[in-house]
Amino acid sequence: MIQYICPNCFGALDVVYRDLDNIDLNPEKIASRGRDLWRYIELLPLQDPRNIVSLGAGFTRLIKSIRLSKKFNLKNLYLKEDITNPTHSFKDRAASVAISKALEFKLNAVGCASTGNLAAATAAHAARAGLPCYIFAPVGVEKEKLSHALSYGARIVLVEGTYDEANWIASRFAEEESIGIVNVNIRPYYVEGSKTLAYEICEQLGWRTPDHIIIPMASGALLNAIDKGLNELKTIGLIDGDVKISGVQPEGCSPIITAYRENRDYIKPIRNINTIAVSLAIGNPGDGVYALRTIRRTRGTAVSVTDREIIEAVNDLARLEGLFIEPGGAVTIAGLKKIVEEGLIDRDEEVVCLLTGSGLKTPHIVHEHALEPLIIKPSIDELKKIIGVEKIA
Amino acid sequence: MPKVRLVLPSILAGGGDRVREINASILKDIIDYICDLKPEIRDRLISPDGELNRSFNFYVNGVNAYFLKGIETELKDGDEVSVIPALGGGC
Repeated sequence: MIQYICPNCFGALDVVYRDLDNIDLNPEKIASRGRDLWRYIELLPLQDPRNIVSLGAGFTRLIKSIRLSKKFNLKNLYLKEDITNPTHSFKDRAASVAISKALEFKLNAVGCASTGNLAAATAAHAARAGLPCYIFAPVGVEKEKLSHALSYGARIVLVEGTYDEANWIASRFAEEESIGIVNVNIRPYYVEGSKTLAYEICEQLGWRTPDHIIIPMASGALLNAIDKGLNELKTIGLIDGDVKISGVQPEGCSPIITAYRENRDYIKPIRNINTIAVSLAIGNPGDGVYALRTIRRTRGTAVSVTDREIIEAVNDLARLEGLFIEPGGAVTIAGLKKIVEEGLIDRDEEVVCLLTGSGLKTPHIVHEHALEPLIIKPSIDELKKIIGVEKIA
Repeated sequence: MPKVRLVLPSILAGGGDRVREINASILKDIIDYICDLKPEIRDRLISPDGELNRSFNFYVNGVNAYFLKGIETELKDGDEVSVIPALGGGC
């Protein structure tokens, strides 16, 4: 039985590395390694590197924004485009570390509770590891994401209800079978994969911290993982400086934001969820309390954004930066806009927005909210009638 | 008093059976039963104002009791109450 709950306080366990301040790690050593998340292997929880299950997740681009920066009147906006991972979302980071750890634990099978992206990431890495994979998802999850996971041979179980019920079934399954549910009983290791986003941002900025990182929140786990990663780099001595950490949720599923606004230190779960950012649709966020603490401690902020604002952000990313991002990832841009409007960001501040999933995962959003294609006969005259040469000259 | 099936996570079962049959009329009876097993856990199950605490989730026949009547949720013969740690990392 894997221990994943603290026997004293019954909270979630986190991985702690011994003698972090004496670790033999420096920028040159890291730079000489492969361009994936395993370049930080000393800071990842594996005993034996032969257990690594990698499809190459990590070391995605950190892009300096040009046109979005202008729109928001910011001098230093960076976009962490974490969609070029093997299954096109940041979840590949978590899945790579969690499935590696499942091999180390000699588990018979793996799985996850998922709102969509983790399903594909877990299934792909399970296929690579040769382990059977079981996915538990609420019935409303986007079918494109399910197709993706199905293609890797995963067994998908759709649970009637919300993510909360899917997570409950997955947790029961983890208690009763020799299976590693990556975000339940292998959760301490799973979040270690996510924290590598923080390492990469600092490395790509030349081993320094940005002023502010804006993060999408569902359960709040990613936000805490980023904070953990930054603190570890500080302890090692690779960075110094403080980073404000802010979280964004869609208005139709924003229990963490509501707690922040009401100045509460606990989360009231919600059941009625309505948002196009389906990958963030977690009404009972397991890490919400910790996310609240992190946001307050780092002097960040927490905002919710409407579906309309999310669609505007999806369009802005595509049309101003050439980046095709799913609604659950684009919430950070919608949130940034709100934070700028509220005057909570200085123009000179160096801001990093995480873009955590590809728009290819939610093509229906484009079909529902973009211009219809023009249909014409194969005639240049007809084309000119519709478009007009002067408009493109 | 109704007889219900209680499914505990291993961390609360303390090496004993995870599945038990106990008598309980409302969810609070279940919480009292668990607190008798582990008295130190009470504030992890019930908040100071008497609500369900969020360290553990209680499901009555698969429905989170938070969305029923909390600790006052009524139970009947044959109901299943399962307790799981409040975890689940999404984004």
